[in-house]
Amino acid sequence: MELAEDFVRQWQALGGKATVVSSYAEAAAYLADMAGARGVRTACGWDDPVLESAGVAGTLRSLGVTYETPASGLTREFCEGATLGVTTADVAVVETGTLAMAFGPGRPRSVGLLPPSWVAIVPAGRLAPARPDLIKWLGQQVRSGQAPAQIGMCSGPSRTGDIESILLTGVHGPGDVHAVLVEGEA
Amino acid sequence: MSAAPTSTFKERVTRERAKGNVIAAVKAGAERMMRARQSAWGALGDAEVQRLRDAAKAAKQKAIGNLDFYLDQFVTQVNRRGGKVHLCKDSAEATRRVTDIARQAGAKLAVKSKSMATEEIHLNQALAEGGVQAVETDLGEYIIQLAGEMPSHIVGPAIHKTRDDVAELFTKDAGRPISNDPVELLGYARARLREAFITADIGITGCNVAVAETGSVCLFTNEGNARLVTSQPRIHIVVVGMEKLVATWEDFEPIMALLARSATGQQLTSYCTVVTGPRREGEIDGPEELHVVVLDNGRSQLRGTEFEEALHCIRCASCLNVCPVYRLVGGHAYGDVYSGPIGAVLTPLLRGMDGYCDLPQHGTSLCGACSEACPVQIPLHDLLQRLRVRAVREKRVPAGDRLAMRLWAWLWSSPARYRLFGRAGRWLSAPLARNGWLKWAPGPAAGWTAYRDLPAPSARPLRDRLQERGLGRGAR
Repeated sequence: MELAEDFVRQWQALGGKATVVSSYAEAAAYLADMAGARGVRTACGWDDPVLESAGVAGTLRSLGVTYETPASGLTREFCEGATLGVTTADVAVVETGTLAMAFGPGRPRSVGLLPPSWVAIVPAGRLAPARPDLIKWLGQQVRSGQAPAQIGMCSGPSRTGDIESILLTGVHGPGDVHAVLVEGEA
Repeated sequence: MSAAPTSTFKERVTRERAKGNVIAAVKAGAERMMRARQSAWGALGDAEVQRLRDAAKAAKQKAIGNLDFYLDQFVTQVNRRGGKVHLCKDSAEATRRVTDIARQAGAKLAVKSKSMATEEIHLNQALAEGGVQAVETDLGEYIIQLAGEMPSHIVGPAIHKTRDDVAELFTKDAGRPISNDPVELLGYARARLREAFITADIGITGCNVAVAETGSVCLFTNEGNARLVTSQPRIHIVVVGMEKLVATWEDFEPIMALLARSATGQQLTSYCTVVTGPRREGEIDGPEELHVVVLDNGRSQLRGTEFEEALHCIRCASCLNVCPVYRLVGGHAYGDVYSGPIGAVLTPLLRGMDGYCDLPQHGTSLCGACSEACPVQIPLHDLLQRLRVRAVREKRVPAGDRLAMRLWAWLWSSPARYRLFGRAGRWLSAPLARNGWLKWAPGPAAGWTAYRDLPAPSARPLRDRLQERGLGRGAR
């Protein structure tokens, strides 16, 4: 699927890791792989239908990872101690390589932010080509009666050029960021 | 706090130019950012860039032209979503308001993401006096905070520091040796600042764009520090200049498209965060209280004047990066928080002509590169020239200079006197010329010849040569 491949390319150009999978089961396998490779022991995640469909909780717990979401009593402090955060995204914009998320109850800001690794599992139906699509989504979100208190639009890993203009990643936000696009899902 | 500087621009330039490493770093950084912007604008294509620049300019004109209305709307919208807005006339009121909020909250520690407005009002100092430690979390700001310096560039505040400088600062801060390896430096800063993020009582941010329509505050960072500052502490305080407003999300779009491209050459910064009110019921993170401190501090006085367009600035630093003066003297020569062309315009307007009229007088060659580079098309070189006119009108030019200008105007306002002036110039400079160049000239010209050779006036002026060819005065 072209949009998905284009997004992968853009996200990678920004310094992130990305892959296209054809099912939620494959997404879970990717998650298990990267968690294993990084020796993840604690992880946090969102309460979200996409994560449920991908069986994130089951996958991570079967690896012996301690995994919490808001529903199981996730706290800020736990996110700080975790090495992996798992979320979805509400729209993935190809042109800018952006994953946009409306935070809120069940979708804490800290999950894709505090741990050094972040995986976003995104149904490919949420891909959109360009910046105007991002603005349209943004406008819809903030103009609604239930506007999210915070919206995060993330285009790659945390980075800086503040020391001699040398590009460094993983400054405050995660440096190890993964976009997993699930084909055939919306 | 009185803003009158203790030195002149020329004195500061002399002082800064002596710091060879600093100047080299500033020039290299500015060059890199300029090329990044040019590349990003180039990728969009001329037509699209112009369309965005026109849209961005229109968006700012609309907001600034109706600022009272949109401020009102912004306040209403923020209140509706559970936040509080504090409209503050000046630095003193703004810092008082912030320290009051901190005191009421029993706060001891504040984490800050980058905000030029907070530098402008010297907020950290006021907080310290109020018993609140404020920690800068933007890596560049953290570095200069440790160094006790002002930012030298709007986007890269520590552009003038080498990795050795940073290692020295971090070693002192850590009480143990930190090497100059950038990755180790980064690791130190990340760990040190993470502690602050998690335990801070208050998070303070600036605001890149405020949207009146929904009372939203937009923050762009690459590091993610604004997201941490607005998700971990219990209280979020935004300090924002009143001119940062736009009316609608449609107006936000061209600015969002241009800001990162102009500042760093990126399409978007790694993090674009939109804050609309404090946390909702049921969230486990995010601030419980949102306070937006809207700063006037001299801005409202510019509305309806010939300087109003200075309020359109989106703080991208494009003008700094192309300015031949900035690139030669660095940010600290400007003597205040804003440097480069926009600094030379805003500082005398906001802080007073008394201390700062020498910025437009001596800090520009009016080359216009700034106006060409500005994404919102502020005619910076026009504003600089108008400030010079104002300086003359307010008699801020030495009497001798004013007299000399009047004399010169008189001499050149008649053809006969003009020709006489030319002949006198040739007679006087002939003994000083070597191979057609003046390597030294007296009086005001000595300022030029100290750094450049001046071409000696030709023995045969153009007027005579044209006459010889039948093309001069009286030619048919």
